[in-house]
Amino acid sequence: MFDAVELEKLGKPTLTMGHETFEKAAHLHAEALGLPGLQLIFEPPPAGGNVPEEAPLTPDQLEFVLGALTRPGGAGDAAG
Amino acid sequence: MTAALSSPTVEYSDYWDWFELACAEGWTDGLPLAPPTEERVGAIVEHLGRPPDEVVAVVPPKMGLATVEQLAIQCAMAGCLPEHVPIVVAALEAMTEPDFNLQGVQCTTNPCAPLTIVSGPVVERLGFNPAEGCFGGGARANAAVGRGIRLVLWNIGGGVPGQTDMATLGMPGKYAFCVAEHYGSSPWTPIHSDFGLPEDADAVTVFACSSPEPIFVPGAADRILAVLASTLPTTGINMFHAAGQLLVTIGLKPTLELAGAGHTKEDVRRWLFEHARYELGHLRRSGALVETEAHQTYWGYVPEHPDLAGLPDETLLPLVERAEDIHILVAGGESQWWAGLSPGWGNYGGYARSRAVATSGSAG
Repeated sequence: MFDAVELEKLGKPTLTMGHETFEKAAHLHAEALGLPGLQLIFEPPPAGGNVPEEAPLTPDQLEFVLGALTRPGGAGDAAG
Repeated sequence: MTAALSSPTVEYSDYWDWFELACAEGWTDGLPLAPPTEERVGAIVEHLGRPPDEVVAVVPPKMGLATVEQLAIQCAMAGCLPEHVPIVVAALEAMTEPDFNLQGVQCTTNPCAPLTIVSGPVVERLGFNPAEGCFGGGARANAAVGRGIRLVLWNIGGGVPGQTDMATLGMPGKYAFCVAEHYGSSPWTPIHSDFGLPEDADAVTVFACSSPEPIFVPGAADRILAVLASTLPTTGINMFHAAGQLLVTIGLKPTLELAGAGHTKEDVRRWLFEHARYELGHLRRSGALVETEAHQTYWGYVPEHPDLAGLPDETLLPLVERAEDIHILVAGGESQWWAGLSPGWGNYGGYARSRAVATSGSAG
């Protein structure tokens, strides 16, 4: 979160990924760090021996990722 | 009262009406609070001798500004006497040093909480309890200081369970977590001297850890050391996959036994580092060590961590990187052979830090 905020302040678009269980916490952190509009995406936490290769992004998530990382702005855009 | 306070005030004639307001506003984690009247807050500010609007620390995760006045309010609600508050201030300053990573400590899923250890002549002077029940009740000073720090972390830092504090289990120490070390009756140097402070200093040492897991260590020094060494390497703590630091609290009775046998605190620390070790085969058989899981790799977050592949099962592995990562506290009653293990958070942070306590004016 801290890295993402610093990058956004430099004008670099970011996307921070996390597990769904941390969604509320992530939004509160983004707000506390002054960027409530920080781009965030969440997925279910791994179950048992699940590894990332077994939990691919859905088409909607992939579209969101591409959109977030190709938007022109940095902090100003994310702050909305 | 001469301190110019700026916080808004409300007038209540009934305590429980005010407490309902405190609950509704989220000023408490559920325990009752003492009303922070202007007189009590003003007395604390005056005792500190610092401007009410001076910022002592920025407290994560909410990044709240811990001004002198806000600290005084939290300490008043905790039931602190003015002379308790410099200890809270010193502890907060130590917790907001970068290596402590208070952001992470406040938010981790681990049950650790910031423990404040009070040491030096101040222990007796302010009536802290370093003896029977030292981690529990028994003295206003322990309770008020521990509670004051918690309310700072709650109200100014915003460490609220399920919102930013994601501790899966939490623990009672999240209500108040303050212990005092024996001073004078301990044969060893105080814990703050391990961090370079003068032995006769009034000091706090903060460390993010769990409540002490009791260890019964009966008998002669060799037996005490053997039991400690065999108990510390448990697989359910963060040390096997994240090293970090741990705290060993040794009661006064076993401490006197160890010292009587000629062991200094440094001797014990070094001995525990060299003998309290994981047996690699046990880690493998226990299921704790799964080589393909990056987050469960032995000391996975240490740069160039040891590569265990190919090592035989009988290999002995240290719990922490250095002997100095084992902290030793002398506290507890003299009547029985008890010690305790408080594992830290691993190498994510929460590392022990000491600060001298300023009796008035700016904290040291």
